[in-house]
Amino acid sequence: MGDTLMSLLSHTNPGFIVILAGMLAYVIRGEIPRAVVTIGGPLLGLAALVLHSALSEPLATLNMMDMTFVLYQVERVSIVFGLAFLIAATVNSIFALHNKDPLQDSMALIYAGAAIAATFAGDLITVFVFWELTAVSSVFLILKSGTPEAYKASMRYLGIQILSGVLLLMGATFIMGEFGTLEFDAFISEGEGLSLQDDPGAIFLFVALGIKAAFPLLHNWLQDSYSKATHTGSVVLSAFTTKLAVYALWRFFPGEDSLIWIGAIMTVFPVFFAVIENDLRKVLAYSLNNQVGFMVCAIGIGTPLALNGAAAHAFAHIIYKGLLFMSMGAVMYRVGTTKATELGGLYRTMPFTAIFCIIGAASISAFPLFSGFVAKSLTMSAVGYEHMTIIWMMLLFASAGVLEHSGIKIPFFAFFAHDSGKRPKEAPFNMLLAMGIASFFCIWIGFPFLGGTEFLYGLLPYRDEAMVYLEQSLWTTDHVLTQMQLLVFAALAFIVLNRVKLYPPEKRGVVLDFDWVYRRPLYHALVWTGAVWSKAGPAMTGAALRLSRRVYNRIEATFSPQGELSRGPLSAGMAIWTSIVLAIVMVLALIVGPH
Amino acid sequence: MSEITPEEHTQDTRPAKHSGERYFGWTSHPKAGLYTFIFVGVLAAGLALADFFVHRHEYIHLAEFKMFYALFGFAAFGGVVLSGWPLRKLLGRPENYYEPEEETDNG
Repeated sequence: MGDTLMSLLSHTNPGFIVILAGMLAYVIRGEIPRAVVTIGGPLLGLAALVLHSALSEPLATLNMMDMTFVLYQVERVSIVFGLAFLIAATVNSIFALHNKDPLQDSMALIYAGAAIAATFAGDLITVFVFWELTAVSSVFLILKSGTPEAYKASMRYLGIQILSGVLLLMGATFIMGEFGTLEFDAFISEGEGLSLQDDPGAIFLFVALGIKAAFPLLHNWLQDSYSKATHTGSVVLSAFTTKLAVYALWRFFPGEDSLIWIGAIMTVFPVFFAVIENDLRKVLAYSLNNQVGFMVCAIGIGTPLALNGAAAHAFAHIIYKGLLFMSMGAVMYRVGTTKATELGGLYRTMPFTAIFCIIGAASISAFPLFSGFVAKSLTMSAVGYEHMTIIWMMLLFASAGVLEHSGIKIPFFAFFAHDSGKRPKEAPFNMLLAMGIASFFCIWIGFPFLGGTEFLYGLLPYRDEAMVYLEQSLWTTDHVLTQMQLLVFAALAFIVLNRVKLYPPEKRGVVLDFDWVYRRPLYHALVWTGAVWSKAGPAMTGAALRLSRRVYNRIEATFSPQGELSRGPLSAGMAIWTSIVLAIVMVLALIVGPH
Repeated sequence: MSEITPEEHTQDTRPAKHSGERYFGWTSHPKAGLYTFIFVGVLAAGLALADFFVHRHEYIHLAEFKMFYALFGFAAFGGVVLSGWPLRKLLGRPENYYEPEEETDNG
């Protein structure tokens, strides 16, 4: 019995277990049994991953319609992403224990499970199915906010996510035509992907992944929806969609040159929006853009060190970004807003949330001894080794920018700065526990001699290169010194500008971004078109109908059995002559045609 | 669960001396800003000084200059923050900028 269970677990995609737990969470109404399922599901998924029986070969397949669907295949890189997703799903379930909302619990787990299942899928159709499931399930986490703004944002979110899925399917169709199969093993291998120049389907795939990864100009769904999700929903959303896209980029497009610039631009532009944004959850969404940019850039560079950097960064980022969203989720839950203008001084009654937020902020800023330093250093070094001066400067600039918006702005304006007079209770125990677990990972991974850095580097796809980097480059005096110089001088700039009152005060309002294009001019154009059609439409339809009726009547009057051409002896003669001409043509064709 | 905070969540019923002041109360001291400035300033000076004693291995030539990271960090952060003034004028709008017209359309 035990052996059968072990064998079953070792051949089951951990994502399926989490999805099943999500379905159960909806039907189980008791709070304690539902808590057991929501936390136990991801933990069982972790057990399944640990027990996986083989690397780089199909562990579960489905044959249907003359095609083989690889439902479960474990690669080294999928372990990094899958493990981070499973940890995030477990921590998120703990964070949401107070919710008592079966629908949110259920959708959060189905969403997480779909992302995990896609990470361990071995063919494009299986990825497509779970790609779409992530979109459909996650939209409930925005909808459940219950506000009209959240409803509109969720519809915009759903539209663009489904579009991404459709593009992925189109890409899959081309790849099927080119390679005759959709199994990854036939057209990609670890570190070798598709070519945008040679593979027509690759372009569709690239845009599909670009939407989910929130490439520049395709990024607005992220800020739009994450800031309007429920206080637990934004935590869940922050972990999966963009990182699933990063995983897919890692598999399909390692070394794709255009990703270097796309990623570098992604790291830089959100910094400017984040500095003037008032909603701290939106600031975190911009920060998410910035962090994913580092990963995208590393994938574009494509060397083993850079690809290790992208995977390590994703692992650390899923945890520390979740931690930051959790701290803002706790503030949202207790205060009802995350707008900087309405916060400040919350440390008095929410000190533990403040401490956890600071740990997340130190991690994302890549302070030595925290996880961000261990992860981001790989990418920065990989860019340096390739002597890409401009890209390296952009990433360095973005690193200082991260300190501004996530390292300082988030904790400072929420918990310190001016006293808002609000004295909310500390976050509930389950939230503190979840934040505590995430904080533990941030420190364990980042602090030397605790074994966390070795654990993370040992998981990476190019393990040997990672271990050499760990021994020779990570903790060198000059590396730690230069990182501390960058961050401490940036912090000094904050203090100086704040003291001389040059730091722009937080102000209520929205910040225009590229979504202005479709929420204003395009929206107005559509409204105008609708108004014009409502007036001109009936008249134009009437004219078209009258015209087509006259044409039909004329044709009928000419060609029908009672029509002009059928009247009199002419029609009979014409029929005879037509038959004669046809017979001549057929005889000629028989004589002169090919034999 | 509604996102609107229930009334009982908004107010802490404990005495006026809050637990958080034990850990962070110093940040509300009138001189806290000055002390932080001095502390960070001294730390920054120490790090800058260390640059003259530690040999750095750089792969980007620009970074070989002494105090490159310190100056870059200060300038980048300062530039980003100062850009906030014109950017807010350019891109900042009232909170209901999008909603009224979209509401009208739906309603």
